[in-house]
Amino acid sequence: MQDEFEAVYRTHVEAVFRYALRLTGDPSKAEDIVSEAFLQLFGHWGSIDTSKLPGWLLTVARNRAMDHWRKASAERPFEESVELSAVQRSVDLEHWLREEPSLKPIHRACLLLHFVHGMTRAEIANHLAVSESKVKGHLQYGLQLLRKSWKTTSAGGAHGAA
Amino acid sequence: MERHDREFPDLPDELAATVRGLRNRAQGCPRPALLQAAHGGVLPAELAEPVLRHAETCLTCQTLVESIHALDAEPIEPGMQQRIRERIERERSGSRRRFLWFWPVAAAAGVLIVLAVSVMLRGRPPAAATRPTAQESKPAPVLAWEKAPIVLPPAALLVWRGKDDSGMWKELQTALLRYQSDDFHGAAELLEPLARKYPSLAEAQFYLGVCRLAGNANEGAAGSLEAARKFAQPPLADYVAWYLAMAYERTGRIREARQLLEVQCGHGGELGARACRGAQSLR
Repeated sequence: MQDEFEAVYRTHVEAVFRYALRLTGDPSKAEDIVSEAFLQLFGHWGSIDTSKLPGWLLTVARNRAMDHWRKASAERPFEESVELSAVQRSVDLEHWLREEPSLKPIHRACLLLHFVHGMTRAEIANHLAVSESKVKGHLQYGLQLLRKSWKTTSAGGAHGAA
Repeated sequence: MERHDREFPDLPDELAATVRGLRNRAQGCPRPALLQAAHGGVLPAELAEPVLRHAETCLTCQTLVESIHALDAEPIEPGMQQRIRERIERERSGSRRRFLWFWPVAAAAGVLIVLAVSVMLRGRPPAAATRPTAQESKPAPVLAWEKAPIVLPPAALLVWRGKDDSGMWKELQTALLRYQSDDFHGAAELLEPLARKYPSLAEAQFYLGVCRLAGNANEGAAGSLEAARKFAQPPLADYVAWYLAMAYERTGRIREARQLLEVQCGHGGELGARACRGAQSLR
């Protein structure tokens, strides 16, 4: 059982952690959830069909994430500000961030968290569970690409990156 | 020469102003964790609704959610993986130690009780055998009765630590010692008042049901097992389903028995396989 459990752990731990992180946005909470999911799996080892993994683990993670948010009663309901929505939108940049084919999802996520949400490199690394040096690299790549696109379109007379 | 912005030193002024414009606008966006949770469907409805309404029309939020979702296949830092592994190992060995400690103590207590009872009963006429006879426990045509293993939640350990304020687990333990020694009738006599006193104690309802099945009191067994089913957690819940199906079969409720087993069949494992065979036999 020990070997089988170990193999199951190695196969699925990353997917379960990524899922828990996505649902909570908090690496330490995601770590709690993943540990709990695998401990539950260990406790029910004899009665669980391992061919149903990682679905079973993801369901446990999802339920624990729901508990986490249910307990987060201090969370203020989000209210969209009408005035801020009316602020001049940087539409071209918004489209560039979404559509630039040379950007991978990790670049887009780093750029958006930095530009839009004002996160530092360390905060982004924490939020995405990647190293700070990788975040630095992704941001550098994204900024380089943005400057290049911006220069090209500015030279063409348009104001925008797209 | 290109002038550079203080906030975005890597960007020329004009581009920095555009980025600032996007950030200003995003002050009206929900924070990333909230956005991700709403899209993952784990946020309470009152929190999720305004977030999802906003994201429907916000391209920036949509891009962020999709980008982060696409990271599901990214490897996680080896340090994080190692930390989780160590934590699971620590908690697993902790729980093993707790259980290793429990069983010798439980066995010793069982021996003491058996000795005390035998001293009390010395000199009295021998009691009738309490193990169900072939007649009493007439095997069901398909689902054969066998003694269920003792499955207790970690909370039952409290009895040994003096933290069982209500005495509930102590009473259950006394009844289960009879069950363990195959005295199903005696166990049922102790479990009946316990199940009445703590109707949501799944273990009491379950073992009462199993004992009643042993004595062929099938209607009563079905009632106890239905009560157990309401409150049982895995892995006990899997055993409850099997014995409840047995009670249904014995009381002629074949369709309900089959339905229960079919659900159980999907759970996999040894109990699931047994349920699959049972459901097949009841067709």
